[in-house]
Amino acid sequence: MSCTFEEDLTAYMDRELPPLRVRQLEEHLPDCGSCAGTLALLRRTMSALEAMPAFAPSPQLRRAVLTRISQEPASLMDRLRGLLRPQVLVPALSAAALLAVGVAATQLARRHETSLDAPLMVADATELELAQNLDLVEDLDVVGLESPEDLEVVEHLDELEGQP
Amino acid sequence: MLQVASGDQAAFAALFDRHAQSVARFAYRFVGDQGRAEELAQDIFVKVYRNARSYRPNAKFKTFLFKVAANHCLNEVRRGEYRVKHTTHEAEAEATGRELPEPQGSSPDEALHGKEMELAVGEAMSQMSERERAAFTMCRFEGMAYREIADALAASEAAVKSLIHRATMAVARKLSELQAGAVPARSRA
Repeated sequence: MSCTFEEDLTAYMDRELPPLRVRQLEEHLPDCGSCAGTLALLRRTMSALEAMPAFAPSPQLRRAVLTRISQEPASLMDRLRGLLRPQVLVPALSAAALLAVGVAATQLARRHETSLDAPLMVADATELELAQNLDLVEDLDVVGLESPEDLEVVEHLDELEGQP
Repeated sequence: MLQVASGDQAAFAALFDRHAQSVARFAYRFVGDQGRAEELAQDIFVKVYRNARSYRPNAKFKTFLFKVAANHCLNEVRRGEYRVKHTTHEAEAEATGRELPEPQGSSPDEALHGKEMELAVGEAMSQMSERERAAFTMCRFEGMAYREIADALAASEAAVKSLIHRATMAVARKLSELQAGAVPARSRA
């Protein structure tokens, strides 16, 4: 069965153990043959790994990466930022403003034409009768006949005209 | 990195020059194949470029870089895009015709021992879990601290300590067998 300190031996070699644990381990090591043997094995292993030949990437890697980077499409933020540059933004806003004015003017002109050409919409029969006899009403207004007596005189005007 | 985030490609080239070897070495140790490692390294740098805006200057750049690298390598291996294959540099050099730097040992015996050792380490690594391999590589070949590795792998320091211990012990046992002559490493190439 392995010692409870065994898990700490690699971290000890890597100087990653907290100071208190280092002290405990160093007190433990002289009395534990298993840990001392594992520590020696770890020392040899780490020396061997340090002596392994270094790996060097090929020179083509740099060219390949830089080519791919140069072909990368701009990000959405970059594209937005590009659109917000004054040399793009000012002409674009001017064009948009002109377009908006044009559209508004067209709409107004259309509305005006519609109001002239469209048939009169009448809500009910009373309004229709009033509209058809508008000239008569205007005449009555001009004459100023408002009282029922005056209207009765107007109604029987032909009879009155027949009298001497 | 802030310049890279604003789309400065010259700044990106400088960043690449500073870190390319680390990233390619990590990918190589992770998949054990130079050609695939370089494909992975390409993808990792493109991802770094695309995600430069998500980098926060309060984080160490190397940690950010290895977070991207570890995620990419783990995902690609899990998706089955890459099978872990460990060979020696020399075997690859023979296949690709590349020239390699002289190994550190000067005598033929030492060179032979270096090849066998690399093969044994590669074999031990191919038998590790992906997270053990990633943690081991960052620790042993990149010299990263446990805290940085934990950040890169989105794990606790205690978990990283355990991953590194298991992985280092696996390599230690393999090298021990090699030294004892129990593992004819060359015969399994």
